[in-house]
Amino acid sequence: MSEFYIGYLSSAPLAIRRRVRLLAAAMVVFAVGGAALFAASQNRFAASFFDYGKPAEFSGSLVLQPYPALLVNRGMAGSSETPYLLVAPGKFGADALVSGREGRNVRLRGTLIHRTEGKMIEIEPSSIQDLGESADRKGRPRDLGFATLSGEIVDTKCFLGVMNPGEGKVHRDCAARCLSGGIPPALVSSDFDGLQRLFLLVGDDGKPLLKSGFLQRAGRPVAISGRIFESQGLYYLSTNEVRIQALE
Amino acid sequence: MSHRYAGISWNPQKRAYDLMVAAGVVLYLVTFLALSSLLHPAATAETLLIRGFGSCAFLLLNVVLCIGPLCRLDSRYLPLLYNRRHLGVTTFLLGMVHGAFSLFQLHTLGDSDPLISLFTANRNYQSLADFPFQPLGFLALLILFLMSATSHDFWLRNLTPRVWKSLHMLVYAAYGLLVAHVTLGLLQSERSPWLVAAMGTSLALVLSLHVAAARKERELDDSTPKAQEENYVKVCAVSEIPEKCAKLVSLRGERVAIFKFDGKISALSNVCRHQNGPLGEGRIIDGCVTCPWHGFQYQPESGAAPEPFTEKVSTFRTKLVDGCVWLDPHPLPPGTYIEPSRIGRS
Ligand code: HEM
Ligand code: FES
Repeated sequence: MSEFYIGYLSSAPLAIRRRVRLLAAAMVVFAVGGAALFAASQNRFAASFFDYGKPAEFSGSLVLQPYPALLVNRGMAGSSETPYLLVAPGKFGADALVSGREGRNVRLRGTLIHRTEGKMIEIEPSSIQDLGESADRKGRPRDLGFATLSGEIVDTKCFLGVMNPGEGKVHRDCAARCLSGGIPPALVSSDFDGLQRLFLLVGDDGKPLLKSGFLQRAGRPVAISGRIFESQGLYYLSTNEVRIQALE
Repeated sequence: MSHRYAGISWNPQKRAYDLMVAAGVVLYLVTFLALSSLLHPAATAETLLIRGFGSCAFLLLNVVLCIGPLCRLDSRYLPLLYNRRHLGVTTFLLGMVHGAFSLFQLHTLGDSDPLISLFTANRNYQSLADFPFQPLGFLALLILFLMSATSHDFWLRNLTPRVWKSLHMLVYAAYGLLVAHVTLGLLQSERSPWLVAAMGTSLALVLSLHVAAARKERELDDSTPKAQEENYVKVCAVSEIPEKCAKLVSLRGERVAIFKFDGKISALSNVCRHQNGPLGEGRIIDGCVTCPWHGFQYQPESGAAPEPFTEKVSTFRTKLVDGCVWLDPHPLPPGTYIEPSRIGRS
């Protein structure tokens, strides 16, 4: 006769105790094996970083259009300026924080976000100090011609390092939220010169693109045709809603 | 079992059970987090916590769902069932940590209420591949919450076992939602075939165990009485029933457990009043039929739990003819005393 288990008695019969021991061992193997399998089979994570909790001071001249950026001169005479895109804390763009300061020299505190494709600062609101009119003359945008690029629309803040993964289908909800809050939208593509680059999306008029045109297309493969130009070290793709095509 | 409910009535087996569950969960999380940060130094802590807790909850839910059919197929797994509700509550808690982290990470600090954003950030409800997978996880979490909140015997009694059982069948809806949550979410962006294989294996295991257990039950329900006479049907030979155990028969879809003990035969409804456990797979211990699931007891002659408990199940009339048991398939009101048939006096 097989043995019978009663939970509220203080000890179980031998055959059942043996089975329980076997199950406990199976559980250990299952837990460790399952965790190791999942840990090892995740996609590679991009080398992107958010220096959270380590704010720093930055100074440079402000560009407001089409998207706010700080041009930082690394000090060496004649060296080119490094552009840092600017965003506010949370899922918001920095437009309101820097409005009215086009071409001003400023000093501000913020947290660095960086990846090979670009650098960005999350500004500490009310840390911006105006240092006066900038003497630098802005170079003219360089026209790089008309092209069709395929890639994915991302919100630049998450992509550059606030989240990892900060792209792809799983991240799409967050991208829609960030883009809706004014984080600069960009196409990630390596179609232009073989390097994976960010192309900030602007309208045909060079102003920020209407959000309705791309909000629901973030995180999915798309092909966008438009005019490419480079300005102060940032790449732009000027296009319109109609020229954003879903791939798949 | 009694009128009064302790918060949770602890005993050494339950403690050992919970200790094992906690150890398993900690082992999983620590292994996943340590190995992931080693292999993927660029991964953010938030992503790893979301993934660790979510996958642990889902694995545990798979285990919970396998326990029922496993016990129906092989009674040696019954210790797993004894405290299954704590597994369910643990699943909910892990799922809640995962959901809360996800909601915070992906939907707060933006231009919309996080709970609204959860349902509206991605609006591709008409597409399969782009379907918003996060609301599916949210609905599953809601179901797990409802089940955890009502898991105590207090609710079992106050909702009546039937309502309670239906409520707890929703676990299958939650499972379906979560399979979709993972398949339309993580599996759409991760490229490793191992993850797809793991998902397929767990789904296949849960389904095949349920099919096997259902087939076993079906065999029982398809058995037809060997002969019929007036009110009685012939169901089995006395010698087929092991001492202090029961033979299960199914008559008009109602399962009856026929017990043999101390030279006597008594028949009871198979359905335990606690959580519908199969009394026919129980034993007679200290003169009482003892449920294999959580040990509720009933007197075989009357179907009533011994004092001070109050549960009662239906009894059935039996008679013995030429070493065979005959049964009157009409259930008597729960708790009705029926003189057992005596073996060797027919
Ligand atoms: C409010 C409810 C929920 C939300 C917002 C949510 C959100 C998410 C997100 C964003 C991911 C993808 C994360 C990534 O890998 O980058 C994910 C994956 C996943 N979720 Fe959920 N989820 C919820 C509820 C649940 C529940 C209740 C469970 C299980 C009991 C669950 C199980 C999983 C599993 C297994 C994965 C795939 C592996 C992983 O990333 O952990 N989710 N969920
Ligand atoms: S079902 Fe719990 S004791 Fe019978």
